[in-house]
Amino acid sequence: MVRFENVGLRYGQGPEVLRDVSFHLKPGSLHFLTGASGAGKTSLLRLLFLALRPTRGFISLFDQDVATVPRTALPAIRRQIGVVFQDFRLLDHMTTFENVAMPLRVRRMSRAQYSHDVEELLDWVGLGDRMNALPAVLSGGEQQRAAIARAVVGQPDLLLADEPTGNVDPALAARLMRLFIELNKLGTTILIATHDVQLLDQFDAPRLELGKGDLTIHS
Amino acid sequence: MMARARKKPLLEGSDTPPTSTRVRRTAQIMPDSGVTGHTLTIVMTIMCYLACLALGALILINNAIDTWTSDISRQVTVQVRPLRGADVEAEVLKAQAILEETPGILSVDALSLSDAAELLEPWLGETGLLEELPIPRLIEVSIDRGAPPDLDALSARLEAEVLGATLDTHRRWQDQLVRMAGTLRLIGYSVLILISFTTIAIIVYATRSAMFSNRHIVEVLHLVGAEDSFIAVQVQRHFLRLGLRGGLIGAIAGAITFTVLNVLSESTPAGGVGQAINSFSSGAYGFSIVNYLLLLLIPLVATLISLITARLAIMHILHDTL
Ligand SMILES: Nc1ncnc2c1ncn2[C@@H]1O[C@H](COP(=O)(O)OP(=O)(O)O)[C@@H](O)[C@H]1O
Ligand SMILES: [Mg+2]
Repeated sequence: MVRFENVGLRYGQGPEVLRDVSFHLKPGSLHFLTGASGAGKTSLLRLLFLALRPTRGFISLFDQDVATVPRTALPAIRRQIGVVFQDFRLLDHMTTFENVAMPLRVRRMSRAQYSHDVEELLDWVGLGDRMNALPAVLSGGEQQRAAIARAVVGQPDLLLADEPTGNVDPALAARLMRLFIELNKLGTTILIATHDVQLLDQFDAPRLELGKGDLTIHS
Repeated sequence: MMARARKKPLLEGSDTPPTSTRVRRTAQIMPDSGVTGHTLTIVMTIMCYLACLALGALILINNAIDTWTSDISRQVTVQVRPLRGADVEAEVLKAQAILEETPGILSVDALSLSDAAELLEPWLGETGLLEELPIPRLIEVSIDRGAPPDLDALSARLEAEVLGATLDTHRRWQDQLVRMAGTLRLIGYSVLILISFTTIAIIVYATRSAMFSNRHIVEVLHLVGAEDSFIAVQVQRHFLRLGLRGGLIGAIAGAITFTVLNVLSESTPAGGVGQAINSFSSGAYGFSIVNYLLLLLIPLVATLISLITARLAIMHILHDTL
């Protein structure tokens, strides 16, 4: 599903943020991506959701070489990927409902087609009574759940989550993790970046550990 | 890839009916304020107003040229110069007789000597000189435009039979006026083209700045899998509205301007600028309603320019993103 081979990345003329990173994610697997702050977790995820191109190396997504995919094919690939951003990136002029519905709206689905699914999903993540609230009035945890809901609403094959428990208390963190595990059981391939060691210890999943740009794999 | 029931609802075990009443509204993906602000709307309206004035002027000029170049003028003048040894009065009567028997002539009106003197008074003053001066005598002739006489033949006959007579069809004046109007028309078209290009430049600039100030939205749209065309539609709908609005307000302001000028110039002497403006709405040179309808071209063209320019600019910008 995802394959990195000797991937290197640098920003501009800066030092290499990622060096010779190689790994493989099998369909339906769940992995953690760990490493200290600044180790390059977010950068690696950005490569995965096609917001960045690697400086060198080979990346394949859904069995397609990312380097040779034409621009016009990118939307179709991105629709198979759900992303929970570290900073959420909710659009602040839109309600929770509208933010979460966005991936369906860009698929040109009509409101009648998607509103039921979106409402159901919002109920599921516990935002059923916050549907008409703007992000500015949501708590950190609520924004986090809205961001997760937006990432999964399109039923992606690959879910990337960047520090999804970074802004919530341990109890909610555990609940969100169970949500990811639930989705993984439904067949979604999941990669969760986190530097929260305590959280990692609660779950038994293979880890990709980034340290100073190098990746080591612990099963 | 795992085979799984992708099309099934995300969550099982819920069969509540759609509850759309729970959701209040659907916001625009790109908020209005971030794309086309007040300043841009005002600039667009002013450009459309200017275009309207230029178009109105062009309509007037074209109508005037039409009238001036239409084969026959309504009025011609026969001039009888007093030649040595000829009796002017007799020659005038002769000319009058010829004119009256020519078919296609509605009226023949010979100006008396005192009429002629009156015409010359502003230049010569009230002197008693007039009797001594060889003042040419004028005969005003109205022509039936439906069945006009053969003016060339008439001219030849007058010159042959009446001493000192010439037929002045005002053609030379008309030719000069038409040439001048042609130059004005060229200027009018140039102004319209300049306004169009300026508008295009403004829209390109505004589109770029809208894309820049909304780049966080564009980025999110991209990352959730929006196609370029979807993003373009979100931005360009604002430019569609901008063109439509600016165009309509500009055109209405233009129409009001022409109507007001028309009312103000009602009392000015015929043949002047006033008459030309009157002709716009009173339809002296055609149907006024048609002229006002032509002004509706402005919102139409403004909308097209705004929409197409914005679309191209957006696609160009998106093409450079990942
Ligand atoms: N847009 C950028 N431009 C330049 N350097 C960047 C950019 N984003 C991240 N970096 C650098 O790359 C390194 C890794 O950052 P990041 O991927 O955000 O790490 P993590 O998510 O593990 O905290 C850091 O040293 C950071 O300063
Ligand atoms: Mg990070």
